[in-house]
Amino acid sequence: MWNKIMVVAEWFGEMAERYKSIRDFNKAAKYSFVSGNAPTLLEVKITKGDSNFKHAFSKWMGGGFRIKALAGRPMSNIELREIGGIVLDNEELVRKLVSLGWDTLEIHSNEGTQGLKWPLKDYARLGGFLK
Amino acid sequence: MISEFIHNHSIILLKICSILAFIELVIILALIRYTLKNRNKLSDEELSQLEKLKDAKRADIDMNGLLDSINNSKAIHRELITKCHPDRFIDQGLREKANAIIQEINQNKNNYSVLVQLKSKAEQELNIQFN
Repeated sequence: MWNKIMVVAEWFGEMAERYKSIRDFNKAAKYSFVSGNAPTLLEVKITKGDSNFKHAFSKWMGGGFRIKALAGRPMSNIELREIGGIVLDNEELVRKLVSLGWDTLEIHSNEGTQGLKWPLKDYARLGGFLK
Repeated sequence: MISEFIHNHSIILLKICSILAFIELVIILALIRYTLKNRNKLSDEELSQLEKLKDAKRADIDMNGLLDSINNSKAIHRELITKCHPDRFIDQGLREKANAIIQEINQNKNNYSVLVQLKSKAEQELNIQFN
């Protein structure tokens, strides 16, 4: 019984941490845009993710970490890849995302149909534990 | 008559309850055994990786730093690569220092805060003037 209570408490803690991460990112992105450091406003949303990228900690219907760039124009493949590369290069962030149940990193612009996605488990460097 | 009826039925009810309690106990013991068995299947390395993932949940990510990297790392990386290229230095000692710095720059090309530190290091060690 105690174990179940702990599991429920952990679930709520995890959900709070997920929303806190998103809030922190969006707040930093807004600050960066308003202060003139960033040419585009970035926004993070939770999506259902790609079922091919699932791992042991994936959240059902909530595995996608989508960064949407409000650029007002279709962004090129190179620009999207650069943003994705910087996020994936931050190993601590990738591990946090994986442990909080995200499995897919998606980068989109608000115009156009192009977007890129990566499996987070391939960048967490956990020695194949999640596969 | 009525009291005898209640007495008989309460005994039956008691028997049913005790049987149900026994079944519950058996199920709980089976679940404990199953959990312990599965826990033993994980190797020490896998357990340490699992602990690492749990710690990652509580990691504090510097979102402002991440946004700085997304927005500014490309420009500063390009500037550093151009100005610190070893071929620009004739002196052998400076060339070796530039070689070491350029390797660090390439290793941290997506980390803005490290690139800023490397910029000041290049200014001091290679006597470069940045705009």
